[in-house]
Amino acid sequence: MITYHFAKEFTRYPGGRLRKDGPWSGQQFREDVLLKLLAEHDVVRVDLSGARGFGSSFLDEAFGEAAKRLGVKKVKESLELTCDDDPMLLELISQKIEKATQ
Amino acid sequence: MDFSAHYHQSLIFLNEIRWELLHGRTHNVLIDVRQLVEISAPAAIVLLAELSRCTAYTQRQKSVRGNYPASDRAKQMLRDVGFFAAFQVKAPDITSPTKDRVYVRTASGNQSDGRYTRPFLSLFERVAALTPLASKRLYSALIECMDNVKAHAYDPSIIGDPNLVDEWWLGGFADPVRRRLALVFYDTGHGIPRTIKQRRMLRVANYARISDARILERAVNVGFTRTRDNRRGNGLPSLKDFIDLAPGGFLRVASGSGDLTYRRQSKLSAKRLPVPMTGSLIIWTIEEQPSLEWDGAGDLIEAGEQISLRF
Repeated sequence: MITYHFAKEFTRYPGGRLRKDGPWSGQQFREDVLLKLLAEHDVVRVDLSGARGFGSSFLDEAFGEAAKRLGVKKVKESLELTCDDDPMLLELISQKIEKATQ
Repeated sequence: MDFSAHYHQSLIFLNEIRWELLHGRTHNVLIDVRQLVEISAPAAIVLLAELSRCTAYTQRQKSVRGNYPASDRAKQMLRDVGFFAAFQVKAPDITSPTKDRVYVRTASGNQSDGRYTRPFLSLFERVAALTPLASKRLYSALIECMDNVKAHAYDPSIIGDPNLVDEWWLGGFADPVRRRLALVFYDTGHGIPRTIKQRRMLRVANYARISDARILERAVNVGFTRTRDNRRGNGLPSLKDFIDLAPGGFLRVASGSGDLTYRRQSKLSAKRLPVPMTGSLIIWTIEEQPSLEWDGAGDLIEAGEQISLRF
């Protein structure tokens, strides 16, 4: 298992949905980080603590789209999310993952 | 000039400036604001945005000049939101400036870039001790606003559309004396209701009959996908997530003919605007000790410390 510290290794200022819309987008995180880590490791823990906040579009493009491409089951089994400073965030991401195939 | 008690006159003024600068035949245009007594922060930011886009389109054909308001209050508001700085004009001297509010100079951009929020969040955390969770919700709402502008507000395929495509403006202030915070987000695009209608009419022909106010209400309440992908278009409810965390929280979204207001933990209220708002204007205000004087509050103009906000 590998632990990825989002705020330290990616950004404290997550952007919008798509790469073309600005820096640190959900698409950028999914393509450059998340899918690569999931391809290389059985279990990936992403610690989302410390970020300034997340837009709904970012979360959908990063986690929802990853679940759409890899399958909800695979993402649920392989991705472990933690966040110490936002109690609602993980539930929100869970919803994005569940909605992935709708 | 404000978008509450003087909404109608303010919109007429903005529409006349826009029309004259973009379509009028006069070469020399003077924006005469000498008699402006007072201007609210949202109105100052919208004026800044409208002049920015109009002058960007007409700089070669028109000579645009302006003067200073005689009123210190109006001068100070324009100076504090960064109006004069935006046009590289020397700010006027102010005889007796008030120091009850701390402003962040209005930012503008054309990307979804969270770093623009840094001065605003820093100010609010420093001056008003905004909680970390409230700060996160505010960040989410702002980044969602920027993303909505990128995705929906403008249509670059329209040839000759006098817009700075994807541009948005963000301003705000903290008032430590009254313990209030305010943020204003504006874009000059086609407006939230119109964009939703255009997309939806492709599938539901009678969509045109639904009022802008109802469309805004639904968009902010439960989300409103503007594409065939049900995962998209769900960002607007995050506008009120921040308000739900904030004491005395108040949200206003004015776009097209729709005027939506929301107070913490209560129902959305949607009304029809007498003159449509060009683009989309979003205002958040929070205060530590909400008082009755804020009932119906949607703008930040103060007249003798009484908030007058009915249309």
